[in-house]
Amino acid sequence: MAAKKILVVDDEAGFGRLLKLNLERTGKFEVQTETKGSQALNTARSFKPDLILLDIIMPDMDGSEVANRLKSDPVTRNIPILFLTALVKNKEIETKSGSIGGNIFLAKPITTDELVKSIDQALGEPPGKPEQKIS
Amino acid sequence: MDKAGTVYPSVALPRPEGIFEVSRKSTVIRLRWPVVLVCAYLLLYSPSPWLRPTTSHFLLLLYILSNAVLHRLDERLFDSPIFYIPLVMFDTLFLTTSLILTQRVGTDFYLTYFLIIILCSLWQDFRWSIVAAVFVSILYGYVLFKTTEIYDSSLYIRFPFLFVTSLFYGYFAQLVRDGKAIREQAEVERWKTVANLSAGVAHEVKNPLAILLQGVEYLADKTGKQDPDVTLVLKEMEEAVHRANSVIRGMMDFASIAQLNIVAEDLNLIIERSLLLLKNQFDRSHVEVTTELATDLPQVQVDRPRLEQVFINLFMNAVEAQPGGGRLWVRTYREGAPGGNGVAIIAEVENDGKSIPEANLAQVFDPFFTTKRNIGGTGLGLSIVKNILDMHNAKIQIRNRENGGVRVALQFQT
Repeated sequence: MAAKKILVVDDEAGFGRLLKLNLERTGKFEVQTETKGSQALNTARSFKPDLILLDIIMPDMDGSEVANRLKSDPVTRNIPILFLTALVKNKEIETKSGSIGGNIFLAKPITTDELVKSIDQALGEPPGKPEQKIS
Repeated sequence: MDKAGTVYPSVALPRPEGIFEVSRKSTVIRLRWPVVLVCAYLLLYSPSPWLRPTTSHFLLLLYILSNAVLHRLDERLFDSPIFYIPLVMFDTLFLTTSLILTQRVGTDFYLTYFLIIILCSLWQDFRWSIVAAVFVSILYGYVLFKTTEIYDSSLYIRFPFLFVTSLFYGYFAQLVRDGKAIREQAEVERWKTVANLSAGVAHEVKNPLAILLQGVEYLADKTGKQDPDVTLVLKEMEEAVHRANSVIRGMMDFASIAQLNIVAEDLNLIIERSLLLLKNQFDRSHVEVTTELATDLPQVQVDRPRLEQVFINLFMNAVEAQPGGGRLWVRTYREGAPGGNGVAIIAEVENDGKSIPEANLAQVFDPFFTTKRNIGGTGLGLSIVKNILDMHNAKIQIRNRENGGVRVALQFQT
């Protein structure tokens, strides 16, 4: 199965790098990272990700603005977005079945297993063990 | 990094003004001059056999001087409610003494005088104190004209006396009310600041925690399998990250009670919902739940999700207090006559597990106080409970039961 392309947009460069390492070692994903919301719009058009992991609080353009622009662009409008934020609590997400205001939120910090499960759900993939681990 | 987009509100309070579009200090001094005049009239023109004229003059001079001293005091003193306590006591004593020394007024006038003070204290509004003066003057005039032959012109001074008294006490009663409103506003501002700070801190701390967790997972996969010690170290590190995260979550819970959405709710339904949410927990822990919920309870004004949080915290504490299983009683009832004023609704949560050491009882509501640190306790649970209840003007009392276990009583006003 071809690796799914994931675009991680987070102004914490270290978090993006580690997320890339951990997601790619599952063998299921090909990850590209961006630290600026404005640049993420161009990358989304060229990289054509299957899913975008988007931080909310970013200095140049916040996550909701990035999401709105992606949704208004015919090339990127159908790409599912998962918001990854430190601003909400796990409990809030659980009580609202993971969706707040129609958007799917994930609370930081998050384990790779939980993240992979959420990505699989968003992509309509059956949840399962990683195909191959890169050691 | 933007500090979580937070706006830190100013905690500086608007400085309350007096009336007559002048400062409080000027208002107080202006209101006291008519009182001085009234007392002067009473002392000088109604000479008492108990006081020599020189003593009367001395007392009057003292009173005038007291108002002159107020001119010299710092403006900021007049913003403190404590400052007014001796002032009003001194004025009340002087005014009442002057009235007694005249020996010209009867019981009906004393009653009128006290009625003014009572009305001003109840209404706590300067403008309404004028209404009180008019109302009481009409009442007193009616009684006076019915019982006295009107020939003494000195009787008429009693009416300005009532107005002066009314304005004087009306203003101080309003100060008390304004002071309370300002304190409540300050409390709200304080909570807003705490909420904003917590959101900012949570954001700034959770991001590094997220990096640490991802890093630990990566290292565990890369190197942990080759060395059991490395696995152990990384496991400890991961647990530390989760523990730090739970403290941050607790802090966010602690802060988020600033935004309450108060509506009329059925307390029994809130309790039943909270019990339902923890049903699996009770079953797993072998805790048998008994409910005795009164059916005639009036609704209470509460924020339902926050109150559920209160009951869930209390139920979880009860479960943790009896790790080998036990019993939990939840009961509600009302205190006070049905339909009467001052009806309180009581909710009791009781377990027969471990008691709280007496030395710890006074500290259980302190933030970060816990005896369960080894099992992940953050010490914020009861602190959050207390703060949520404070925001609802509800009371909480925790006591040990005689035969072991703990009884928690919550009291809500309807």
